[in-house]
Amino acid sequence: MNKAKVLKLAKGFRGRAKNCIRIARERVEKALQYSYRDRRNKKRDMRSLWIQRINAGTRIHSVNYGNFMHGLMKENIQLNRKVLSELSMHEPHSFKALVDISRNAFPGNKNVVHAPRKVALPLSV
Amino acid sequence: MSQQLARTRLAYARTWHHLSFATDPRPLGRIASSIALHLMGKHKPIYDPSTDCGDYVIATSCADINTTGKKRYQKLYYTHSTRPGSLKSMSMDNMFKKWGGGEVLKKAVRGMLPKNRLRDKRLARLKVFEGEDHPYRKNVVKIDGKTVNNDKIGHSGETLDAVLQMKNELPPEKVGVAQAST
Repeated sequence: MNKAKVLKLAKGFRGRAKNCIRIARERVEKALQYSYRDRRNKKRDMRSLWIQRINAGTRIHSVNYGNFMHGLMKENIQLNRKVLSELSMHEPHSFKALVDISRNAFPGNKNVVHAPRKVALPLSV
Repeated sequence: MSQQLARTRLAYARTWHHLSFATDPRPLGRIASSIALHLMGKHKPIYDPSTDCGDYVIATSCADINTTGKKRYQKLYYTHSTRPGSLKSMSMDNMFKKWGGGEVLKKAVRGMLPKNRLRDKRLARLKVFEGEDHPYRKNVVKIDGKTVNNDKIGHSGETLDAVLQMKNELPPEKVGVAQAST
């Protein structure tokens, strides 16, 4: 890549990295590596954000994300997390209807068994 | 209709939540965890990590903070001034006496917030008081005697309708329908 192209890609960089070709070349190479990596990371990050938003939306109605998705899978509702997060943000009534469907299909794990509480042994033992 | 309403400034406004240690039976850490979630804004479906969408939390009666086991007398809080030999420790009981339960709660919540540039700003939204009195009574919104939390503004049928009715935008027939369905 010739100098002009490199310096064009280095617009907005800090300090000499936007002006001097020797420094700009390094920074531009790094920037291109980051953008390659992050095109893949963006998909992961967005999915994680959708899940956090769905979790917040369902917890308003006292259901957590895991139980909600399990109920939806049981009812064979194939809405993906992107759409579900948009519904939870902008369509509260529709989202509540989905939460009710999921709660009917899977009311939650009622037979939760807690581990026995450890009791401190008396000193004489 | 709900689409337009959820995209209003009201849905993004910071609301004030109030909790009192006198009435809440949960121990220090569990309450601190819940407070941290509200300070971050993770209880809202519109959560975005790039924006600071957290809320205010008022914690009163911090003198009555409950801890299990012998933590009150055994848990130590350390301070160090980077000068060699200046490690000092203080038990939780002494912290209560010197700084009050508010500081203990703030330390707990501070450790539970993400360690980034927003941490101190978010922590500043936690207002602590040793007694029951606090100057923010007018900030905690109440409709018909029930406190409105931002978890529900724009995101749940009954409170949305209540807010709209307050603003005289929703016809009374629709209010009844929404409340009947929930």
